[in-house]
Amino acid sequence: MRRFLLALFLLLLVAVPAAAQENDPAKELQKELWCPICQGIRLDVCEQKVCEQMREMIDQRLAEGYTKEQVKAEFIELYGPVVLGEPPRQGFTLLAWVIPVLLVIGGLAAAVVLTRRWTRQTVSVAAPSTADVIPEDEYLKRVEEELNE
Amino acid sequence: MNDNTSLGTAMDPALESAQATPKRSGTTLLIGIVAVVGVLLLVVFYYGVLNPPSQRVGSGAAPPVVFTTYDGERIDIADYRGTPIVINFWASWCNPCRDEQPILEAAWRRHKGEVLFIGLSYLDQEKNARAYMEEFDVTYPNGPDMGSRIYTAYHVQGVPETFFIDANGNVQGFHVGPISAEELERRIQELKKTAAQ
Repeated sequence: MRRFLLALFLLLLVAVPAAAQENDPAKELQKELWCPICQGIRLDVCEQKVCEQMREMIDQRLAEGYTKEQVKAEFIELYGPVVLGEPPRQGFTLLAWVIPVLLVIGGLAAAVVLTRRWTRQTVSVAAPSTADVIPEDEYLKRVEEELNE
Repeated sequence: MNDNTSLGTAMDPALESAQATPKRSGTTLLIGIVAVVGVLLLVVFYYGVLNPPSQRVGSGAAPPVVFTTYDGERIDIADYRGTPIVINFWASWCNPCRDEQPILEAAWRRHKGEVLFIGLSYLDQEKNARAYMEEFDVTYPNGPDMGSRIYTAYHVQGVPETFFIDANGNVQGFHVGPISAEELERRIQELKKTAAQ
């Protein structure tokens, strides 16, 4: 029993700070936003000075009572949509949004077409119509008759 | 009795046509999908690989610059036609910007009334930008480039960068990196010639 209580205590010791960190809106925001000058580096791990300032601003705004969405909206206005780590949905970069959708639709359409075709072939191979099959001896008999004509 | 059907080898033409139609339409669909995806990939390849990377605006009509300074003044460079303009992109977190800031401020004070200086802070926060301006006693109009829109319009690729716009509203050139006092003075003298014409 004592061992069980000790294990439970140790588990809580590890789990509670981890859970607290997961519910930390500042950390969550840092993980959802991206460095505006680097390529593909999240705000929580970026060491650029601009990102340091951004992390400070997140803390400050949350302390002032801003919601996560309000902070995000302010960041987008100030830094641009690049902080979301998404390509802008306009101009040439719109293709980055359109192409994956088209590929998925095309893939699904191709899968449907191929599945139908394969199913049809399987059925025709597995269950040939008995009406079309003529016994071999009868078939040969007919050939001979026609050759003799 | 020469009828093919009597041998059981040929199919009814109507039945054959009925079975071929879905197969043919499926193939057409597949070819269509492949063609569309192929064209899109070609477009991506053309723009991404064959197109040269965006070039800084170094000539021609200056892209619009409209912003509100940290003091609340609205600036539109279109209102300053006839006056040469120096636009400097900077940031409080940018160390090379600190090297050129005293040079820019000194030149502004020397040419005030003849040349307009504009500072646009890039990816910066008001608190930090104000502290930087106070540190260097910056007195020419400065404001945030919200959403990096002007930065993008001029195809700026980092800070500091400085653009020179002549009295006719055309970009006369740009300087990448911290600018020296000599280079800045030379550029300003060139700009002033356009104002005199």
